[in-house]
Amino acid sequence: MQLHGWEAALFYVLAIMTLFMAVFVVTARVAVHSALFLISTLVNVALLFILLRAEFVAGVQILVYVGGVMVLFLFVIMLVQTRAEEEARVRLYTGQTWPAVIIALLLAVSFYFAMNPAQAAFRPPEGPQVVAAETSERASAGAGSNISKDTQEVGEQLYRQAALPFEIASLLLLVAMVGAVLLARGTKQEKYYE
Amino acid sequence: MLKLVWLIPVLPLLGFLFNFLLGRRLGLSERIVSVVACGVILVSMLLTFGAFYEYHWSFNPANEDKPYITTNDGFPNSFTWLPGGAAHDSLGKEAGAPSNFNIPWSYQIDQLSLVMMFIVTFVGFWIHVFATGYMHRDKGYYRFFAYLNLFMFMMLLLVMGSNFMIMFIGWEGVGLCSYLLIGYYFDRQEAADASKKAFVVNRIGDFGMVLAICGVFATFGTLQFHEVATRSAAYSTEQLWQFGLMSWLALGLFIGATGKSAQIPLYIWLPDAMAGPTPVSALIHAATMVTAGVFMVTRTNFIFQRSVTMMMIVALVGCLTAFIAATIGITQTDIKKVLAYSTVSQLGYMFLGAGVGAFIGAIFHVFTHAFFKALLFLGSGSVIHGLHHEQEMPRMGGLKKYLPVTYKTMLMGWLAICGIIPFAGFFSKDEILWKTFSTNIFGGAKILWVVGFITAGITAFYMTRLMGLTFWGEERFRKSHNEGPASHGEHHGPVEPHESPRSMTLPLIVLAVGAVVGGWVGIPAALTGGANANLFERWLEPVIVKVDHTTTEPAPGAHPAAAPAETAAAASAHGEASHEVDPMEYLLIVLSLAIALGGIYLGRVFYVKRPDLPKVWAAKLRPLYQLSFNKWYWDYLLDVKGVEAVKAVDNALFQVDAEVVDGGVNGSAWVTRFWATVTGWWDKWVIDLAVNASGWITRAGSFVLRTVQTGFWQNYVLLFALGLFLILLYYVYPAITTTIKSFTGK
Amino acid sequence: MISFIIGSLAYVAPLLLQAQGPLLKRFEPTLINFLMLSFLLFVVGVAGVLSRRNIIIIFMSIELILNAVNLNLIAFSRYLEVNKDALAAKGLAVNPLAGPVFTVFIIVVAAAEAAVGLGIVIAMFRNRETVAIDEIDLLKW
Repeated sequence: MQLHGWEAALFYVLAIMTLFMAVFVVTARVAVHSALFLISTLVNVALLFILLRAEFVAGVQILVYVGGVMVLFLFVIMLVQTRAEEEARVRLYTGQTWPAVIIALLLAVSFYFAMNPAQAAFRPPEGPQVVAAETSERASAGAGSNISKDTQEVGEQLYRQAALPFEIASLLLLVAMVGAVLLARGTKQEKYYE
Repeated sequence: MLKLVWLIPVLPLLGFLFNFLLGRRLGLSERIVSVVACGVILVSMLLTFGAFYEYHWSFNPANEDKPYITTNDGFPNSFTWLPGGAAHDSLGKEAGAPSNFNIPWSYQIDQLSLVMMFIVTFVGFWIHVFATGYMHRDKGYYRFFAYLNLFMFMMLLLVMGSNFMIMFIGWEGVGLCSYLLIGYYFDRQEAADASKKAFVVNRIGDFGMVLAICGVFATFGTLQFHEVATRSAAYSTEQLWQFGLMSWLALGLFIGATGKSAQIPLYIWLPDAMAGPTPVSALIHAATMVTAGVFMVTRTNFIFQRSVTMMMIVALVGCLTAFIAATIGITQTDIKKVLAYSTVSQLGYMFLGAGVGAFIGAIFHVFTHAFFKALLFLGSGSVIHGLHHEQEMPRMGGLKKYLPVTYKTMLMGWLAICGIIPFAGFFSKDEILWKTFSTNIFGGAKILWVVGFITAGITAFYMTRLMGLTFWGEERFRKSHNEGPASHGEHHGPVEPHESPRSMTLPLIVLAVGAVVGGWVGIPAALTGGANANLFERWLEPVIVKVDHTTTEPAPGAHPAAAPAETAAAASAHGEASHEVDPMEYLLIVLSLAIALGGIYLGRVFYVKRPDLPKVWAAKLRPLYQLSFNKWYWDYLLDVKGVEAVKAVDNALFQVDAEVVDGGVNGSAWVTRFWATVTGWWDKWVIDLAVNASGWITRAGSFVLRTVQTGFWQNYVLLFALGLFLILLYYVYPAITTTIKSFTGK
Repeated sequence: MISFIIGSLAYVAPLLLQAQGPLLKRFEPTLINFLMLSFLLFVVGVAGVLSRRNIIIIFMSIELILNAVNLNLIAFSRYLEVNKDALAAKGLAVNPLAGPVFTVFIIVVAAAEAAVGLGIVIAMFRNRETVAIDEIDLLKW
């Protein structure tokens, strides 16, 4: 697996964008800004998914994350908005920021060292690379005639091999929904309904 | 009429219920109450006569000793009263044999119970009639007659019951009625005390009685009299100084009898019981209830006769009681007290008779005594009534002309109790004395005869004294009545004695006739020259079991009637075989007549001819006089010394308690405390140290460790990330070294 | 603004890459690059979780971490798909589609977690009037 040409360039652009946006998410003073940067990050990641020929997951990412979860985040931010963060004297970070940063850097460094000798292991094995030709073909022929079968394949997998986890996931969602309603419901509402 | 015997006790019960439940609520008049109360007794009496006639009519030699038992006649004659279920014998020869504790409610009609029923209903009826006059205008009129009827019910149960349990109900029931009637004037302290005393003393006797009944069931597996009689034939006679099973049973029963029949040592309640109304004294404490003990001993003679030791004890106790009570009677001044001690004395005679084997004589004396003692009591009641509740004899005298009917009837009773020849008392008393003299159950009975003989003289003496102080001599009631404490009378001021109303004199006349002719049913064979058998003896003969007292072997046949004839003659001289008359008997008759007349003469001299003599002789025989006057100090012993002794025993027990028991307790407490100290030290310095040390260590460790517990979860996540880093480092450590080498090694 | 500049660069970069040919070939991203990106994203998320006070932002950081994992999964999936035949020749049968499927489940779990977590945040805010994590310290000794 190797990206060529403009895909490679696009990867770097998206990667840098993703990282910057992620850092902005963590460092933003106002929570709403944070959320908006997160949306950007997620969109970038979705684009990376497309680069990796995972169109279905990218779509789900956009639909569920950006369209659902982030809206929920924004709503909650609005609901609990104290606007205290906008004042400069309010601390944004906990007392352990520097240890956290150091540990994060240590993690990154150790990962770098881990990757270095592992690069050989992750090289593509000798042999024909099926999809590379296809992609090159697709790239040359344009998007019109060649429709990706990713969604179809993932759907088949999801509803055949992973049918039981899928149902369990739906149950989990149901439970989460009921739990969220129960948690968010205040005593005032309880009185109202009673 | 035998089918109707169940009515005999039930009618008085109905009378009781009627008067007791409705008497107060409806405010029944005296007339209704008395008619109901006397009416039910009258019907019972007639039914008794009917039963007597029918039983006698169906009486024949073939089944002469078969009692009529209502077990098979069904309700209401008989029913299973206590269905106790299966049990087993635990004593005696058949220990372990299965038995059945099903107590039927049934009556036994035989010669003995018929005699007793006759006494109870006949004398009871006339005393009821007397009481209608005596209790006139008493505010508890209905209550009195209700209790009297209840007493009649219980007494009839006692004599009619076919087993020990029914008899025991009656036994306790008459005790209850006795208590209620002694305490009839419950607003008077002495009456309340006397009733309590009677009740408590009777309980002591009943204790022995209950034990004996339990023993009887444990031994024989049944409580029916006739079955026990049959089964007891398997037991041999226990000789003198032997004390086996039969003796224990007899002892228990006799303790009950001493309580009920006022024998030594439990006689003390009877004189005090005179606090009750006089008809009660006549009915319960002279004629019927107190003779229940004699009846019971006779009824259970099949047990008593199998223990020579107990027979001797019974005779001894009876004899002593007769003598002591008679000596006390000499000096008492209360007319009813004298009669009470006379009753105790006569009961002693009865037990003397029973003890020497003359059960029939004892019952005969019960029969005659019921007449003349009831007569004497009613007569005294009439006197008391006439003198407005004056009971002290020193304040009477010369009442002969004021109370002519009472005087004449009491004269009959006096002669009867003294034992003058044609009167009732002579025959019965003479019978007992002769049997005492001639018995061969145990040796030395002649000493008992001597005591009984002297007692007969004393009896004549004190009864003459009673008559002399009451009816003859100088009229003292006028002068003494004002100065003395007006204890018993409602009316004060000078009194004029008056004859009692007809309702009271009629019973006196009837009973006086009974006192004269009552003895004629038992004229001894000796007086007819051996021509005719003693009727009364002949009648009661089947009830008495014939037991050979000389051998320890059980009778060969199962049935007591099959006992050898020669032992029957030895046990009590009766039946066809004993018609030839011992010449000694004539001598004894003459002797007892002589001593009776001597006693009467002495009494006349002392209390009529020369009224100054008693004081002289009392001074001369001061210790004896004091002994008699203080009732042999028996009450004093019981009330004062007995209490002191009990206190001393209690003190001793307290000392034991304080020294030994408390010492043991305190000692064990001290040991426990010492040991507790030791273990406490161990606990404190070793166990607790270990516990505390572990606690301290934990605390110290936790003091360090809990600094990690900041409650700030991002700290935890930081540690989490650190751990992640360390794990990662562990895995990539070779890669790091090779990388560094690749940089530096170049 | 920055993203706009970088976005415009994206149009220039392919030309540069193609022009340089083999030189730039070294910089063509492979699986390693994706893993690097994923890990950096993860580290940024961890740093956020560890250092911020606002619970909501911490939640967002968690979303970042989850996305890093997603990216990882998808990258490996692509790698396996591309080299499927070669691996089969080596005797390794692989299922490259397991990655996307698993990613879908992770997204589901993330959504559920966000729903419940934010419900808790609301309930807590209602009771404590704060969303600062270091003020919520009842668990402290």
